[in-house]
Amino acid sequence: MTNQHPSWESLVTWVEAGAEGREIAAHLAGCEPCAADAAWLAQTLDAMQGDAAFKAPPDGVRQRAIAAHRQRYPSTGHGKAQRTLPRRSLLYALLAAAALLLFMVVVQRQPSKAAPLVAVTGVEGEVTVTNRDEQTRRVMNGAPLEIGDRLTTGEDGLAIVEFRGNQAAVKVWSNSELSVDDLVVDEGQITALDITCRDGRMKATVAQPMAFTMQAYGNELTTRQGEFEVEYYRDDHSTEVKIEAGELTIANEAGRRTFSEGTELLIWYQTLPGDPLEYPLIYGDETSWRDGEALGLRASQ
Amino acid sequence: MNNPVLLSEQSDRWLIEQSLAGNNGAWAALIGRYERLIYSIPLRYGMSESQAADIFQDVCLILLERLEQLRDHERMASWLGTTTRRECWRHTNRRDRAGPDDPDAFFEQQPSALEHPEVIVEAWERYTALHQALAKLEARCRTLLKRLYFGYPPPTYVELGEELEMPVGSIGPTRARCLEKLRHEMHGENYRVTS
Ligand SMILES: [Zn+2]
Repeated sequence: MTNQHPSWESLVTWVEAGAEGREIAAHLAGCEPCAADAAWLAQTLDAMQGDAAFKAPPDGVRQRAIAAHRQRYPSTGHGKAQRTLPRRSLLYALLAAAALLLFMVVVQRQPSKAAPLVAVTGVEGEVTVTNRDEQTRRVMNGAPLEIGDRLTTGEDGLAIVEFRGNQAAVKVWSNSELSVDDLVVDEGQITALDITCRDGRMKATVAQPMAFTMQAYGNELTTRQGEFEVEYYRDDHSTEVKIEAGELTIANEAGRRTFSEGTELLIWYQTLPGDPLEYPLIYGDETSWRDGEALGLRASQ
Repeated sequence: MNNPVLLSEQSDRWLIEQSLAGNNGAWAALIGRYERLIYSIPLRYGMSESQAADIFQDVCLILLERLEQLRDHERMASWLGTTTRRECWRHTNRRDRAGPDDPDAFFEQQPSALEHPEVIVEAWERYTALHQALAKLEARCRTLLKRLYFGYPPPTYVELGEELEMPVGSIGPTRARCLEKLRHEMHGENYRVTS
């Protein structure tokens, strides 16, 4: 055996090639850390190749299972009680309702001032907010956001923008920018919310039904309820969208289409052969990317 | 201030409670978390896709009925594994009434040794840990690893270079770096390296 540890890259090559190459094999026999690296690589590459072993059910099958819950709990869809309250909390709930009523009266008396319905939480690293007057300030946990504010995260920044407690939330990763464009509140519940993802990566969770719209790089993403992640890649101007719960409708200049939970999409602008214009194409799941076949939203004439 | 709701990051217990309170998004997230496990068990037992779809639906309905009792269950995956296996047996027995009354006896009589659900659950946990780690990687790495290792036959470096707009010479070192990052992300996840 040699005393020289093989580089990680040569270990990768060795495992990929089916563990042929006596020199490395001889080294591994006498070197525990390298043997552990090789074992991890072998098992991981194996797991990737056997990936098809855990197929997802077809979309229709999944939707039927999701619909069974909707039939059983038909009260949802109106943003009613999403949270089970222990009995002794009833008093607090009543007090909260009274406070909310008072709050709404106050808000109605000051129509020009936006209600502090949006707050920044989970702040890590550098997170700043720029208001409509282009004044920028650093934000701390719990800081309110107003309509028109733009939240920016730095290299090491992370933040969560919460809309009226838990009705909706957007996790904003580093080097990202989000703006809150509009918000409609009816009887204390958010019924419509418009935001823009201007840069980077974010995950939106719409926990209670509402008209939720996110503008992201030429695409309008809308949902009633659900969870999805958006990431933008500056180098090729592509946008990746992962739908983790619910349905998401994507509209851009080429058309509109609704996708359901579990779908991963890549949207990029591509010049069609013989056409001087660029059109957005949506590629769904890896199989389609591989075949180079667009899933839809081809440019309409 | 309430904690933010990121459905996919919530515990089973939280999703169950929300589902019980009528939150369809939480139910969808719960199904999304376990759908591959439930659907793959009948397929691994050699059943057809349409049988697997029926069993999937039945198991989801049972889950919906039992949500209340499952609130405090420590290992949903195990419970689902056992429940799905029992439904596989029920479906097979519906067609073939001569089969034994007991799932264990039935599965032991099968010509090829069928995997115990716990074995499938463990493989599914590894699969899930791998995919969670992949999801945390930057997109370039994720795409490169998926293209290189997930399909057969794998593309050549020249094809990949064109597709991903990367110099061919950088693919080798990049894929090694991406695997290193993947290992870093999986560290501490319940991914067992067997010796
Ligand atoms: Zn070594």
